[in-house]
Amino acid sequence: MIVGIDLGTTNSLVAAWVDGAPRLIPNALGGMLTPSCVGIDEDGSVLVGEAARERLQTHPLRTASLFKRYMGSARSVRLGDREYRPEELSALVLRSLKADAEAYLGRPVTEAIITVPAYFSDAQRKATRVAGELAGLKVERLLNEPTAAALAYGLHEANSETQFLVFDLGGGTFDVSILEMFEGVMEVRASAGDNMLGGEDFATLIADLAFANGIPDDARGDAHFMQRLVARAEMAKRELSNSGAASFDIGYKETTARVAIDNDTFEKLAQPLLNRLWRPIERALRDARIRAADLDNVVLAGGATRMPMIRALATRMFGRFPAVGHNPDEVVALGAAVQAGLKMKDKALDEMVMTDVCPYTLGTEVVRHLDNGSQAAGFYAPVIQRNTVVPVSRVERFLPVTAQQKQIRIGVYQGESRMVRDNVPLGEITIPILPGPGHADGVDVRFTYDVNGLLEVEVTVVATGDVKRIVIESGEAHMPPDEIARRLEVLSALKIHPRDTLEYRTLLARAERLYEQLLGDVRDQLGQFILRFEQVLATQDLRLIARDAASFREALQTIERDYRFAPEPTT
Amino acid sequence: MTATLWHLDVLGLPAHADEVAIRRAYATALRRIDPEVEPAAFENLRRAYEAARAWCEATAVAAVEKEPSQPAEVAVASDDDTMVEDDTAQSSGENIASPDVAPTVSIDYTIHLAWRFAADVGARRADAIPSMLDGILAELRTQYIDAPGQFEEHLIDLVGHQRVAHRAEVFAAAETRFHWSEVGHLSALGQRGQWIELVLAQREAWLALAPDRRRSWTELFVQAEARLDTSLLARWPEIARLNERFPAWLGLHLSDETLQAWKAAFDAQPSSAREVYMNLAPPESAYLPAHIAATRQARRQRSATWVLASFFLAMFVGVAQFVVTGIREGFPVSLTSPVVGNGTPADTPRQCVELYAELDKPDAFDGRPLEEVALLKARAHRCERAGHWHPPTRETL
Repeated sequence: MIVGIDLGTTNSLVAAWVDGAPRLIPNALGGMLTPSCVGIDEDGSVLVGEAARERLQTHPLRTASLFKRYMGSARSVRLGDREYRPEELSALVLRSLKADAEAYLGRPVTEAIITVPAYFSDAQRKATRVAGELAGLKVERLLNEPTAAALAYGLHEANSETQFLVFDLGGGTFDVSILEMFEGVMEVRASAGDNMLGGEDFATLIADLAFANGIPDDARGDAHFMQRLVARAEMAKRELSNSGAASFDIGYKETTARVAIDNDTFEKLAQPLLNRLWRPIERALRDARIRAADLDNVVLAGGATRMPMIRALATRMFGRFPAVGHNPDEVVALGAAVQAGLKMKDKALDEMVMTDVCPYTLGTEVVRHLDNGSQAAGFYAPVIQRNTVVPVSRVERFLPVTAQQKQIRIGVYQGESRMVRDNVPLGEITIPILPGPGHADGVDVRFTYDVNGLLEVEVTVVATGDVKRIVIESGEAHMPPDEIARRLEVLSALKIHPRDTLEYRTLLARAERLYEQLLGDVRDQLGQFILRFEQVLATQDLRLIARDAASFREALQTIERDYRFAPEPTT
Repeated sequence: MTATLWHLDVLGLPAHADEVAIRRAYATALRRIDPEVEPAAFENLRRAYEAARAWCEATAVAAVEKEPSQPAEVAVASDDDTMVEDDTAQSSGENIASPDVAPTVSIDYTIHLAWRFAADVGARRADAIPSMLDGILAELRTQYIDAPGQFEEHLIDLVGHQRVAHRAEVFAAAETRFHWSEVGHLSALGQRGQWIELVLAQREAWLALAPDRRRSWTELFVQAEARLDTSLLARWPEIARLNERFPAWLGLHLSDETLQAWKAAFDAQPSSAREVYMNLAPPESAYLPAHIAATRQARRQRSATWVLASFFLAMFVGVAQFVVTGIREGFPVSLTSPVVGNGTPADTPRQCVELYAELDKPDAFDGRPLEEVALLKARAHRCERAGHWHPPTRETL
């Protein structure tokens, strides 16, 4: 059984192809969205999802979020007494989703299709693959997120010949893909994106207002305060989408700041972020050689596209209202499930074929003639142009710079700049050649890029036929197989909070978060509730716990509702 | 002709296949191949498909332009990695004269914006150019998504055809804002992109020259553009030499008119005077990168043998071929005009030049009905498609 997983910056989802249709799989709490948060409990057990998200505020030093942003880098996060790589944290989220899928489907799940932002680099894709392995999942395919959204959209598209654009603004990344559908073929024409632009950046804008309104800058160093602030800002962002205005009070030491914002101000504030949305769209349209007028539809994906200003911008850009009908949070996971169905050669998808592109230009470094007869090094010679349909294999021939040269160094780069210094180095091969004017045939360089975005480079010396080959294992964050095996062992040894009581653990985390935010009598009262619920939990009598949990939840809801209007406590 | 139809063989199609048949054949063949298992078979199919689409489009263009010799050439030139225009509306060559459908930006909006910018640049200081461009970009972002791209093309035309002052500054400001250092962007820009690439490469070479030389020449450019004084006559041999080496780059600093007037004034001198001026010009090494020129100078002073040796060194440096296939030739032609005239014959290269001159006038669109403007733009667009768009070349000098 292959499942489809949307491993998001903010939330993750799992879905499967069941009875000829994609279906979302609920987590232990019954929800479809599992927050991409990981926490380590006081007793050393791992909490994933909603419980960890609640603990971000109460235990910021034992909880991690937004780690997708560091995938493919060497940056690690300290939780409790251990450092965790972003791959490991992602693996813990994947493991939790895997457990949910197994509980729902009633059988072991060992293979998955994981979605990644289309504009994810080589290193980021590799890190995602490693995360899958660490979670005990064979990653059958890394699927581009906008392509997944397109698959979910195209499944029900009656019009068999259509061109459309997917506008995917998630929690942390922005992707654009332009697709063409004809005769059952779903063809990605072009993809572009920004890996550092998402809904979280919009929430940060609101959070920053607190500092403009009197909170001293040194509060930025206080992890507890920052998590509290970010949570309030995120809540305000959602409220803005629903009611057009939002406000909250937040305190730090003796100062209290009031943050009030309406949609107009928010939009003005967000202008620099909105401006960054233009470039990838323009580029994708130009690369696909399509004008906005030629598009039949615009499909929105990603939770951040719920923001009214994003919808308004998309409407203005394309002169039409974007397609509605799919939940933007869920569409990517559904598409991943469609891809799982395709992979399993499901009969219902017999007529459907999908091709994707390589969103980056890949090439090598060359020395070039300048017009004044001199030579200059450091130029970039593309071998695979961006937005070429994959899998693809291309050969270019390169000559030695001088006749006396004894070897040729082939540097492999990813990027768009004319000069290699501005592109990302992926690796290099040095190969000996025979010097002398008679042997100046040079080398053939072959780049092979597969459907998963893995690049292989092969260099052949034309004169001798000698061949050298590398699979690019690049980046500061590269993990050799023995390292993966070691980390897998460590991760397996971690105690995971049991799934059947996760709901109560989450409830408790939520209560603790509320407790920190409250003051006075309500706080004391809540303290009593928490104490009592902890005692009930200790009995391990599931029937008793379930009964008490219901009234506990109700009490929390009441407090939360009232609390919205209560001032933020100063600590 | 049949030699170029290998792609139709791969798709199992007859020579008269149309676009719909090509797509259908590709779709059918694709279902029998798993790209993951048989990448080579997939790639072969994909190449055939893209070539067939390119061929199909070229045939359609040729049919419209009534130039029977074109399809074969284009089919050869548009090789396998040229991406193919989805061009259903134009392939049949009929009912394409319909005006813009929403949501296309009205063409004259971006043109007027470009012209307003050109006029502003002429009236203001060069250091205001970046903020002026930022202002225009902000204005464009209140429009449809196509607007910035359209403006960019008009701007390249203005700079390339020397219709704007402070071209070097405009170019530099536009370069960062429109991402002109991106290889993929330049190739998507078609011939305009090729021109930019030319300017960038020549600028690279220019920047390698000795800084004091560059400074003195830059001052000379400014002086000459302000007033072509007789005192500048003696400097023409230098300018002629620079114009040979960096024509596109020089075009950002010196207008064609200045160059022509300069040359004419020089040619009008008696030959004895011209010879004196020629001898006054700096040595050949002045036009070489500073480090090479310095090395050569030092060696020349040592011994005659070294002079000979450095000559050979220079030969190697100059002659060795570094990159053969790294730089692609077949830049795809960009298609952005919303209107294609139906039935009007294509312009000859000469007519195209005249047409551009007409369009480049500041008042080109004043008082003209929109349809006429659209038609002019469509003609210009076809000129561009036929390869007749070109920045000023200095061959005539």
